[in-house]
Amino acid sequence: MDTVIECADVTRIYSSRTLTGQRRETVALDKVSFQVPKGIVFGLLGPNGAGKTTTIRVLSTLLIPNSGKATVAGFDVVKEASKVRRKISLILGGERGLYGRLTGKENLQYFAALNHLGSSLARNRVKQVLEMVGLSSASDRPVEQYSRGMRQRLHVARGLLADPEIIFMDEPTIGLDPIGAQELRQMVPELISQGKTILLTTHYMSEADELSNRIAIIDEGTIIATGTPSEIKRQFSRVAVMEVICRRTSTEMLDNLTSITGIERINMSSDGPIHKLTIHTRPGVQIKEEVVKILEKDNIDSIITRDPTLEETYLSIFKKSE
Amino acid sequence: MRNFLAQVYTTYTGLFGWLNWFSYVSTVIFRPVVLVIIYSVLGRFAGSPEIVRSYAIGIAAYTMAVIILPGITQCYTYDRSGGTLSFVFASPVNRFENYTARAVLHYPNGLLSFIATLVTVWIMVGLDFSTVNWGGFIAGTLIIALSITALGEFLGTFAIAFRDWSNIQTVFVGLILILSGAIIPLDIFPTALQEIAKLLPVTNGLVSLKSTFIGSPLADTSGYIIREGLTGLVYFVLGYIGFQVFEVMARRRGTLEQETF
Repeated sequence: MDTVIECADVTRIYSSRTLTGQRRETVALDKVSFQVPKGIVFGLLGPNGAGKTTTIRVLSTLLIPNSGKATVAGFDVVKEASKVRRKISLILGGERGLYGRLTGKENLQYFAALNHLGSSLARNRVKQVLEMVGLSSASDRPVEQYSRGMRQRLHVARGLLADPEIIFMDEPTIGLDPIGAQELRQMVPELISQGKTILLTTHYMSEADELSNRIAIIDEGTIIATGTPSEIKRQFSRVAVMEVICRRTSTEMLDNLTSITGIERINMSSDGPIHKLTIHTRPGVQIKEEVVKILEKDNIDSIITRDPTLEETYLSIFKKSE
Repeated sequence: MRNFLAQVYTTYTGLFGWLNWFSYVSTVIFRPVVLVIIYSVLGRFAGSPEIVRSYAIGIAAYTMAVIILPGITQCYTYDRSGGTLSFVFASPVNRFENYTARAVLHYPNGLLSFIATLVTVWIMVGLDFSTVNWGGFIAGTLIIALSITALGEFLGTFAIAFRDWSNIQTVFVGLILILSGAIIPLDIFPTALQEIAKLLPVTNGLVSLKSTFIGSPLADTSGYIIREGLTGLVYFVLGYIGFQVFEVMARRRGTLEQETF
């Protein structure tokens, strides 16, 4: 598969000065390397300040890396920035980045002009994307009257306006209500089927798990894990998960379970008389027999071991490193 | 052309701080009118119609700077503080087109305040327009407004790379008031300061404006008006270079996402 986005040893350092004039440097990206093949969703995950947005800003030509090389659609993001800009669009989360006094439609018309869309194409695309994000009826209202979710929809509409080959989505569902977020998630496979490539950052692990073909986890400016979601879960998880459905629990039972060597955490949820225990253990630890003994065999409806979810994997990586 | 006009419209309506009726009238009309009333009445107390005329024309030219310079500077500072400038720079827009579009509608704003100022003096103190060489006077006015607009573009572009830049226009508005000859005759200043004054918009053109107002042919002061035009051209070119250089600087320093004001 063709590679459309490539970072090779990209380093970005922010410099600032304190009030006393001392120079302070923050390494936002430290020799970041990854490749994104054409036509997939590539999820970039990590805690706040890990370097996700900096990566997107470098790739969208808004930041020049201190060293290393990044290419998008085969073009160098520094030396051939203007060619890169013809291939990409940027969807950022948050309330900034829109002209509050202008209507939603006027905002899009302006960005259509910035992207050199012709008159009739601009008109059609503005109408189409407003419909896609469900803002047609509010398109003539000033953006300053929009709710946070509506602004985020407009961000998405702007990102799709010029029909770009590559879309950078930086936390695109932030601020969206569940329906809006679901609509966006449904839009993503459709965009991929049109041959587009999406680089997605999100804090919602289920979203990343659902949408991403490949994932990279970044922490303190360094890529610490990369692969398909399944590979990440298998290779990088520091937990194994057992789920037990049972009828009775007691404090004594839970205390006894907690004392089993290898168990790290137990979560319990109840639905009427049914209790679900989610037991997190270190990988490779055999605890089934002891669990059955403590909870009593006739009390247990089912007991399964499963791969951890992406969220559990993510938490196990970062809780361990804290 | 359509794309250029869309940028002209949006950069003005989306980024101009005085775009509601009250702010617009109070800033573009009322403020210059108050200024010119004060100075023309002062001139009348001084007992000389020449002083009234000189103040009136000087203040009328100066008010164009009062209106145009902050208007264009806001267009850059608001774009950056609102987070929209990042999206402009991430787009393939023709930079020259975008740079030029930001100034277009601020130019007629300046002319409007110029006209409002002179009409006020005509009504209030009976300024005599009977001898005006209208062709030369209008040409001079248009060129002064252009060179002020070019200075506005030049100053505005700094906001791309530097925070807290919006007040720089206040400094230049003050310099134009003091050094352009609008109120204070230029020849009272030391020679060095006079040379610096000639690098500002208004200073050269105002000589021509005052001359054509009393009926002299434009040819008599053509050197001044050419110099005014060249001053504007230099600021416009420097501004465009700044627009590109500061974009690269902002990308290098990572300052685009920083708030400004």
